[in-house]
Amino acid sequence: MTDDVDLKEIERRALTAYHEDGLLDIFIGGYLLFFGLSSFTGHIAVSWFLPALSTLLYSEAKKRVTYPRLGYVRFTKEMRHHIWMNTSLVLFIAGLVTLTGLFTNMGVPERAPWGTLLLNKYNLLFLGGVFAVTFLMMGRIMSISRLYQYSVISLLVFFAGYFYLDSPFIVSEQSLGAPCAIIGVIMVGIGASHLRRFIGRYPKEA
Amino acid sequence: MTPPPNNPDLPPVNEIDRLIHEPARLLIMAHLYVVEGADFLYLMNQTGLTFGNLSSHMTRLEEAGYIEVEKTFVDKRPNTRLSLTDAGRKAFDEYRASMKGLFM
Repeated sequence: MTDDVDLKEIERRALTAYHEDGLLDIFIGGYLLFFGLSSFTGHIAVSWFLPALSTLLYSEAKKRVTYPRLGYVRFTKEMRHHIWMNTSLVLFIAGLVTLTGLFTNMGVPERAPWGTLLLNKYNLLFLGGVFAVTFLMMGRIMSISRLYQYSVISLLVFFAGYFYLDSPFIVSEQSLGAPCAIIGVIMVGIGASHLRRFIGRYPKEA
Repeated sequence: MTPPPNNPDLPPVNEIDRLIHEPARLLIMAHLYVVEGADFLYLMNQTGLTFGNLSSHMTRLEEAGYIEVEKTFVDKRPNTRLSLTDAGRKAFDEYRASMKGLFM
């Protein structure tokens, strides 16, 4: 009987069920898609303000879609704190590293340190690595295994982008924008399919 | 199987909380133990218990003072929220300790 009461497993399953709806994928993917497309229209500054709005919309969507079907659960303070702190830290570091990568892509003098030159040359590969590690860590923190697949997808898309997009004719924001938009479309698609399955599995009570 | 009366090394089986030991109630207690609170629908989905089954076990646990049941309205619809009381948390800890003691 003691084997049946694996509390860690129950906790993990609770977290997984909470994110089974695919809304997280849709919102992150939607943001990446918007960021990617706005880099082509030249309105990229708008996308820096979008996370705050996305967070509000995400919590509203949870209230309307998830709670009436799966039910309401309030995680312990420790778990909420753990997820919040770790996710913030991962996103902060990822943002910082991405910005560094972007700056190095905006043109470096020939006598720049070798590290900067290397970053400049393999910029998209570097950014792909940042995306991959970010998804990997978020998947681990939030116990969502499908975030691992986005890690692999990010690597593949940025790797392809390195060969097809990273040319002197494309400005840096756009060379980041195209892979972001592609990853965004994939995430929204997978998220929508999870949402469809979730709605079928947990019909709303009459 | 009951332990021989003169064997002090074996933990007393009689001390195991039978209210928690019942599989459905054990499942409910375990699910509530890892969260701060959850509603009836969430527990039904996670434990796989039917409405009637969960309802009757919920009443037993509430009567024992192990869980707290709060009935509210969300968007004009009735909503039943459950959480473990301090006594329930302590009882569950003791239950786990005694079960571990039995099999160690």
